[in-house]
Amino acid sequence: MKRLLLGAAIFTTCTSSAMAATIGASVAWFDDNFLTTMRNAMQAEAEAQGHEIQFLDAQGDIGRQLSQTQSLAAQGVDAIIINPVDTAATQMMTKVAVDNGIPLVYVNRQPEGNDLDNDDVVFVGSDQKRSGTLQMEAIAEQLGGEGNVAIMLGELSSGATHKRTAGVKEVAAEYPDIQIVEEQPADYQRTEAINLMNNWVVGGQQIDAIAANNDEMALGALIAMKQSGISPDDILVGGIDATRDALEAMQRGELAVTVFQDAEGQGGGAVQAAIGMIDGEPVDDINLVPFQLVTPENLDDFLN
Amino acid sequence: MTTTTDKTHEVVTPKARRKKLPTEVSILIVLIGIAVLFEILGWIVRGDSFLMNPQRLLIMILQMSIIGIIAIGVTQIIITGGIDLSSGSVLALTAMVTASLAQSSDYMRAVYPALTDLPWLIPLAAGMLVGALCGLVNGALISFAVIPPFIATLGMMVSARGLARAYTDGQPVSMLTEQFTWIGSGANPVIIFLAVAVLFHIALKHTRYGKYTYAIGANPQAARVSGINVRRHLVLVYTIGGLLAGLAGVVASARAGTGQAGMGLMYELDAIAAAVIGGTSLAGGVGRITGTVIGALILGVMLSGFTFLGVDAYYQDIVKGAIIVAAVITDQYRQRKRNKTA
Amino acid sequence: MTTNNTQRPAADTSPRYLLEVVDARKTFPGVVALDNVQLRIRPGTVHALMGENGAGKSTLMKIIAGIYIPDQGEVRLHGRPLTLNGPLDALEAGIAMIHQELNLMPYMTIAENIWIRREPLNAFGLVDHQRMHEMTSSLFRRLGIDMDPDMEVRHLTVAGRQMIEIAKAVSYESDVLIMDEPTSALTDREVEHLFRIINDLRSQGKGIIYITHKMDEVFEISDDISVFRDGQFIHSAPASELSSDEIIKLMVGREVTQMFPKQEVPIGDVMLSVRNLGLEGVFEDVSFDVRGGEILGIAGLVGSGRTNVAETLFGVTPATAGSIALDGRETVISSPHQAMLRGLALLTEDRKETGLFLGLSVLENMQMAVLRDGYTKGPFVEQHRLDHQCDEMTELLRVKTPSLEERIGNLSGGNQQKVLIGRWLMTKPRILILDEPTRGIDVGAKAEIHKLITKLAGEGVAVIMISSELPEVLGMSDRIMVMHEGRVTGFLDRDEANQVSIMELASSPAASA
Repeated sequence: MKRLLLGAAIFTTCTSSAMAATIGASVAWFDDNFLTTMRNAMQAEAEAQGHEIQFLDAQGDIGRQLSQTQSLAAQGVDAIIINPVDTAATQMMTKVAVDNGIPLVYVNRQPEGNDLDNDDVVFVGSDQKRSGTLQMEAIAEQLGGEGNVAIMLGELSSGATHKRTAGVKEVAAEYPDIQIVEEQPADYQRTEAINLMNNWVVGGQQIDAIAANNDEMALGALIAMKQSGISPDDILVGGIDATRDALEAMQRGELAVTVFQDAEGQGGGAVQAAIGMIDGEPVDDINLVPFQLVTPENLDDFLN
Repeated sequence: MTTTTDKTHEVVTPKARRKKLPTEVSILIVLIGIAVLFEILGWIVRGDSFLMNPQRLLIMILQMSIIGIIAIGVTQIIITGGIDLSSGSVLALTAMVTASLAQSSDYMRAVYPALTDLPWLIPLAAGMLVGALCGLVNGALISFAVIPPFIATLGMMVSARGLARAYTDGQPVSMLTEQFTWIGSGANPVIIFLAVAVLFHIALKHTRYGKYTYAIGANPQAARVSGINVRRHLVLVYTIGGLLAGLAGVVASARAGTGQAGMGLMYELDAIAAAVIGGTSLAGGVGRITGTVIGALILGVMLSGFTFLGVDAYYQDIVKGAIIVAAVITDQYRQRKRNKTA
Repeated sequence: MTTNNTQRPAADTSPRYLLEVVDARKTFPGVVALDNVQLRIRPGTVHALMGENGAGKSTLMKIIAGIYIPDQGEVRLHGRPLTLNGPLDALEAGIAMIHQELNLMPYMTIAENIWIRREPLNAFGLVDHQRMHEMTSSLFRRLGIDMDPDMEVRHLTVAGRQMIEIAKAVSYESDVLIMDEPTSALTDREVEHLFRIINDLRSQGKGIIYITHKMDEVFEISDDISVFRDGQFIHSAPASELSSDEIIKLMVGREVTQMFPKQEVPIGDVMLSVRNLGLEGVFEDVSFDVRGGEILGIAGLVGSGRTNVAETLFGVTPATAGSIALDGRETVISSPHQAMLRGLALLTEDRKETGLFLGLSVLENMQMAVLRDGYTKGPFVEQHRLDHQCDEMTELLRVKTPSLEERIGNLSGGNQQKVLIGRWLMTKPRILILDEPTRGIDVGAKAEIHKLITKLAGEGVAVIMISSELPEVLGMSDRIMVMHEGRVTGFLDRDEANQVSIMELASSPAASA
């Protein structure tokens, strides 16, 4: 253990930011569109600063992510960036990094425990609950404070699903004339959302707005509505993430609202935080990148 | 038994071909049972009919169309005694390739800016070709490298998913032309699914292709001695399985108007479940397309039923798993009873 | 014969018999499988059960072994009625059955197979392999078996596995042993060994129920014979009081006129000519001619390479040396399909392994070999024509089946074999290779198949017939080729061949022709 620590220490000294540092990153899902944008931003930021970054795909498996963390530590990387699969199960990974004296950045999803109390363990990301709040506030306003809302849930095992939904419900509770009438999962997938929306449409329940946990599901709901001849004016659809497809749907007048989560800001920020710690600069424990509401009024700002 | 003419040993000549009830009947009863259960619960919980809604009946098939197309390919593979775990991933890969050739010229960030606004036939053909190629690799590995189907298709499952991601570095491929998305709009997926089902029902029942498929599943050695080129036939069966996964990828991307590397996750398991619920034996030699279609419908009815009743999302999968197992147990119990009387 | 020398259990009836089946009746939906069946086994005897397939022997055995529960009647052991709720009950009561289909686990050792479920344990509750080895060795010494208890079963021959099954049954110290056609896959020498074991068990006062189709065995080994027909008990008598003809008459309910209806037919030109044929490491230097109308018998012990020669001729395992000529023209056969195109047909040795499509119907089984080269329009199968052909074939071969749609697994062995013969006759072969055409099928069906072979030869077909049953080879062949350890040791003409001359050639490489 001592030798390992010593080795790591020597390694660290040799690779101050003047030289190219190596950053290891474990991402919860390569398949996720938002995380892909974030990943590309991390890559770009690392390259711009002249460092190397290596990505691993945890494929939604917390066990796999832990072993990836261990192997990155054993490999002697200078910093680790983790986009955690499960925000409640980060302690073991934190311990691995701390024991090996490697700086650790959690990105996008904030650990629920006291991980950030450790030195050189920080978080860069956004408050997921806030995205649900922003989404529902805009929907409530467009509904004029009354109507039936259906929530399309993401994967039930994902922390973001719970936080976003909690934000939506919190706002809805402030409006006595707004009811949450349906709440079913479509696993963040467009195809599943088409199926779910179809079933809701034939279910006969009056629905005035859809609050989807992400844009892909919102787009799926819109496809199903289009095929059933339902106008986007009759059922307002809101998403989260402000993906390119979603912004274009808003431009066509279909999507009512989405929330921009700054993938590039988070990814770039995570790499900056990692490099800052490698160089021994002070980095805050929590670095929040704000969400921004996107509606047709400010759409042009995001279409770049 | 009859070297002389003895009255106690009448030779029964099989002139009269006795028609037995098809094996699908028992699984059809399971389907009806589940539907009726939801109907009853529907009146209790929501005070409304589950089945008396033609639109919902269509949706039940519509939402299973893509998995159903895969399931037909998987059924014929399972009949040969094999398995295909790669179909979900192959769907994702073909969806990516197909979508990249179906993008509209309105879109600034097309994957191939020079290849936009192509007629719908090109992405369709490309998707099916990519699927068939994946199937061909599966078949060649199984037939000529003599790798067990489970392993060969597991490898393809991982590789095809990786290829799907690498194709655009994980970026979705969207903004597809209207003429292409028409393939997946309205009831078209249902029409494609049912057309494929009819085609393969006939192929398995009335063609040499079908007869050989069953023969290889029942006894590959006997098939070989009977003059069947077992290896070549297996390559063909897996290639067609891949082709159908490719077709499913085309329909899926047309329906969602996008190609994404995360599409079709776990579809292979739903497809296998549909086949097995429908009476296809994993031991090979037994199975029918009609059964698989009914198996897919059972999954579709469950999906709609849960949404209709508003079953808590957390419990849906538990119940779904239990119903799959119960459906197969019921079917096997009925079949065993029938075999005893035979 | 032997007197009752087992201890008498305290029972009110005097157990003159070790095992009794009284008034047994068993019905399946729609079928009476057994009715009014009686069976009495004396201690220290071998009791042969005879009857055609479907006569009810297997059902009766399954009742005794606890697999079926009879609708009526009872089984008594040592005079006391037995209630059997499963095969384990029977085993514990002292009745062991050696199944026709062997039930061993190939990747476990001999010792593990024998003592499964009864493994000796050491102090830690783990399997004590050394003691298990010793227990197996002492069991083998008792039975005169020379095998390594630690060898994996998959390395054993069929005969070896049979011995293990018997040893396993003996290890239960059972009073009653049921053997269902134990010699069907054994060579004469192995049969001798088996009979020594049986004699030994008999002298220990055990009762052995012995099911067989082979008449010579019955007289060699059994003390008593019971005959069944159509689920009815027909007759029971000491073996010394019955003749072979009488038994056959009792079995089929009539006289079988001719077991080997060999006819003299005009012998034609040489159709198949084989020169120095070899398959590396299996057989070598095999040369023979077969003429149209001729029946060439191939005899030899199991493992002599007979079957391999047949498979090589048919392209299953293409030859590595030598040449094959058809009608005088040299040809290459590298796959079964090529062989079929050249007019060959092969009825394989092992019905289940390489012949039947067990899950499929009689129709599918019969038509499978002709689909590739006929009866099709484009990709479609001309099912109507095929139905018609298969109907005719089942009629010609007198296949007993409720319909062509019946699953072939539900047919008796003889009828399954007829369907397979039908499969090959539909290809209209000019050279027909039959490997053990009558193995495991009953007397009546056997005679019919022999008649059919004769008829085909009469139509000018060249027939090659491999058989382990010497009477069959002798009765049917025009000429006999004998093999030993992958080489031809001689040819015998019909008039000079007898059991002795064949066995001499089959067992010694020295007697080269």
